[in-house]
Amino acid sequence: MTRKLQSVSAELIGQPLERKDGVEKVTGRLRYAADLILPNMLHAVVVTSPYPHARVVQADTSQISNLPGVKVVITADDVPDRRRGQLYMDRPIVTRKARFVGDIVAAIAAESEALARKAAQLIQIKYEQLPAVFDLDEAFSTNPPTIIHEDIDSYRRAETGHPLVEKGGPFGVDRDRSRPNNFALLKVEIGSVEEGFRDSDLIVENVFTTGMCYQAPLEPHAAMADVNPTTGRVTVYSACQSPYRAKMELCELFDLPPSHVTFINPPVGGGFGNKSYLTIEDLAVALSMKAKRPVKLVLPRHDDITSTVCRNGSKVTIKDGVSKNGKLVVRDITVLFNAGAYNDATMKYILSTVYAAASTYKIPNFRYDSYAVYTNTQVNGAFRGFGMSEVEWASERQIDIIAEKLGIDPVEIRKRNIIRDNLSTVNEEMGDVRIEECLNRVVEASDYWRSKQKKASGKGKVRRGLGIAIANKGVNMHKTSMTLKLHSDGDLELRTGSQEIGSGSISGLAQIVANEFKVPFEKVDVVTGDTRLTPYDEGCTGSRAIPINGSCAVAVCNELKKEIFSLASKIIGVPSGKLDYANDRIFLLDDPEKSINVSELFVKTQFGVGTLAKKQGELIATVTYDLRDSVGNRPIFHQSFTVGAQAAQVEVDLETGRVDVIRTVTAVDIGKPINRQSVQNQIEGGVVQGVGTALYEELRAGEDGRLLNPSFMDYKILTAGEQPPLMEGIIVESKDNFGPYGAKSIGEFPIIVTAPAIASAIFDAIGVQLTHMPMTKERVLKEITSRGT
Amino acid sequence: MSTTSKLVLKMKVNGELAEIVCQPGSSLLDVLRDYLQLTGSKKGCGSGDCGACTVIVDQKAVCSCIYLAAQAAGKEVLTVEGLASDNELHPLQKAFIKNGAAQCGFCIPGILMSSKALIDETPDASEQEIREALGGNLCRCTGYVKIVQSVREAAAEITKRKPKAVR
Repeated sequence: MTRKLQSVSAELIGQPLERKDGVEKVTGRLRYAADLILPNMLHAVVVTSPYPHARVVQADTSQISNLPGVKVVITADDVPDRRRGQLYMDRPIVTRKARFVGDIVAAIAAESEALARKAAQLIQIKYEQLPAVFDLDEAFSTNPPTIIHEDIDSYRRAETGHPLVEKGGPFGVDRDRSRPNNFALLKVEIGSVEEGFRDSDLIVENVFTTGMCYQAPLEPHAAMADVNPTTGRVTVYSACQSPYRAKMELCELFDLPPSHVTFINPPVGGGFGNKSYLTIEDLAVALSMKAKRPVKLVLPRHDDITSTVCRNGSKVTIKDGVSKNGKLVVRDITVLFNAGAYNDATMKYILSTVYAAASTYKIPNFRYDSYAVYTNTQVNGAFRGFGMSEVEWASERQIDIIAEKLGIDPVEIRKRNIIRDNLSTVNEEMGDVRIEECLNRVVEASDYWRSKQKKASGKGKVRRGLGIAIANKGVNMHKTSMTLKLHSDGDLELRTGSQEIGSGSISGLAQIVANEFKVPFEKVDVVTGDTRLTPYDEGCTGSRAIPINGSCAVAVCNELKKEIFSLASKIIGVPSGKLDYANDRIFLLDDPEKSINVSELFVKTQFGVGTLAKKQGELIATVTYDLRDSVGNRPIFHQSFTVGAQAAQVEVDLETGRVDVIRTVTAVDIGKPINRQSVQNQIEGGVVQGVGTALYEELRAGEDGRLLNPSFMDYKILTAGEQPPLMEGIIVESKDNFGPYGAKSIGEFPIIVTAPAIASAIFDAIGVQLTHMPMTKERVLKEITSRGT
Repeated sequence: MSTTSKLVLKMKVNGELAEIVCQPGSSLLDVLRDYLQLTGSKKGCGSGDCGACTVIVDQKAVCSCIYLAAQAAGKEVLTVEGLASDNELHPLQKAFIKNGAAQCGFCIPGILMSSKALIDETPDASEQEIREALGGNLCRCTGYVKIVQSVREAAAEITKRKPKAVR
């Protein structure tokens, strides 16, 4: 088949090119993890605890051991006594003590899913129930009703090289030993809080809280493990956002050498943090080891909600001191994260949310105390925003309340406090951040000032309001490796351990490579998802896919060009420094007429079939990129800060408490868009998820700790009929130093800024400052009735 | 259980006659995915809440996860794999690609089939009708804007091609 391709002369960066994966996705050909099958494979289910806190006394498998087709059962006795978690390892593969309703106490593999499910109903697990604690404050107390992890001090903490965690690092993480359910604590202090309060004209203290919600990717967790019983080698196929991290977790849990574990990672059907780390892959491996056959485990939606990870609750107390004109003098902020039963990502949360605690404001005196707290509830894991949603929510609400008390407009008070020297309150260089420009753009686009003049807009039972918020989201995890190969037809093959989870990042990388080589987008192919072929990557998480991986893509292009030019210079007979590349040709910079086609770099093989590169058989380069190399030894955690603002317009029904978001305008400084269409689509999707988590979505539990709504019928995410009718995205460009062409990220920012903007608009509409998210109808109505608005 | 007698069903799937052996309680989705290995239709919930499994049975969009395979006996089933004809993509598919309406893509097979059932029946569907028709299809990535826009564009394209649509 011959291809007709336009030659490239224009800059590809920013162009709204069609994504690489479009055809596969609209034809149903794309194979997700759950679509894969292996010969002779078994199907698995998990057995979960019905109690929030209970010791497993006995697991009686006699009822099911004779069931035809049921092959293996694993309990805590069958798995290595090792634990996992991010930075701090506390979760066993299968537990001996259930710490929440949904904790995994056994897993079963059978010839069919139906048989495995039948066996799960018949297995007899005897429990000894223990007192449970669900409430964050009760669990956090010095005398809690129960201790969830008695052996807390025996758990391993990772050596990360992380500046906030390292011994001797500037901050240091510990735990408060007087509080038995606290397992991690970060304290940061800048300036003097005491002096700050002494110098303040007004002191304002408030408590802000968030409920429990679920990432809700449409694809549930799916993992298939194939352990070779003779060699012990393990192959895992899984829907995971970070295949390399999950692979390394597997190696640690099962004491396997990295060379013996292959992680195959098909494109992921949505993650939003839910699939950030190892989740169920360890169960599939343990079952396959015991069964000596491949085992596939796909979680039913109920188990996906109850037994994996969610965004659990938070409680943020902010005490601010301000001057009469609204300048923040001091902030004393205490953040409690409800980790649920296990750490998973919560220790990381308390590290990263230090950047939301001061938000995009400059506060000369600042104290941040953040605690990770165990409760007998669902496990808190990564969720788009990674703790920033909860803490920016609190911070932005607090600023609105201060504005109200001082009679200063919310836009004005923000302008008086935003960072103007690109140095955050906690002394991180933020790069070029255009906070004020974003704020001005949403103020203008939403006609903010005119709307403010028309006070008490809306008549009768429906009130309209317009609100604003600002936020930031940095990127952490700074390493990745990539390989780039030139084929003799001029096509480029990029190999990356990062995977497409929906955001369009893989197409973005292809766009960068095409731009660097000045070839049509169609000539770049991206190979992903197999740790034997695709080099190390830290995962498609934390907004890192473009700023970090995009930088690596540029670097690997430069490295491959060096190889190409070195070979071409010998053929053309000029120094390689004088060569350039475009549209499959290598040419002299001074004399573009003098050129060769890439095919001339290749020769026929010995037997006359196919070609190989004249030099070393292949024209290929591999590069490892580490952001730390470019910023030096300065301790960094977050970098490449996306900042922005949102104006949200709402209608509040005074009789029902119902809030409708009728318009949002979101302006984001993302440095430089790689693909404008993908950026706009991320803004729309993020805002809609933000509206859902702000107004509707809440996982609720009964008094027995059991979730009341673990299904898509009862846990409401927005449908096509409920999306805000108008959602505008404004892309603000800046000149940042870190990402490729100055590009920052877009994945997480929109959800973070949306809830506080809506809350601000609700205040504008009905004069009530809400402090709990989600702002459900019931809660809004309760506020309306209690204040007689 | 394995003692239950099996059903042998005949139905047309994507234009081809298929003979299927399954359990009496098998869902159409399980038969499509496991027996026929047409894995384009997705299982997002198994209880008819998310719409990722939507297929068309005799012109009507159904959630195949809660639709018994036996109910489809003798009927015509269309899945996402049968949406394109020959080598040409359906206007819906083209519009979805053009607008980037598929992000993670997991909900897309179901959304395409709900959309096809709608515009086959109502080629001039209003935006409101599109949103209602897609009310049973959850998408977590896109915020629906580009999906609704794509359905409108595809409907317009189809209407343009066939000025007098035969109902």
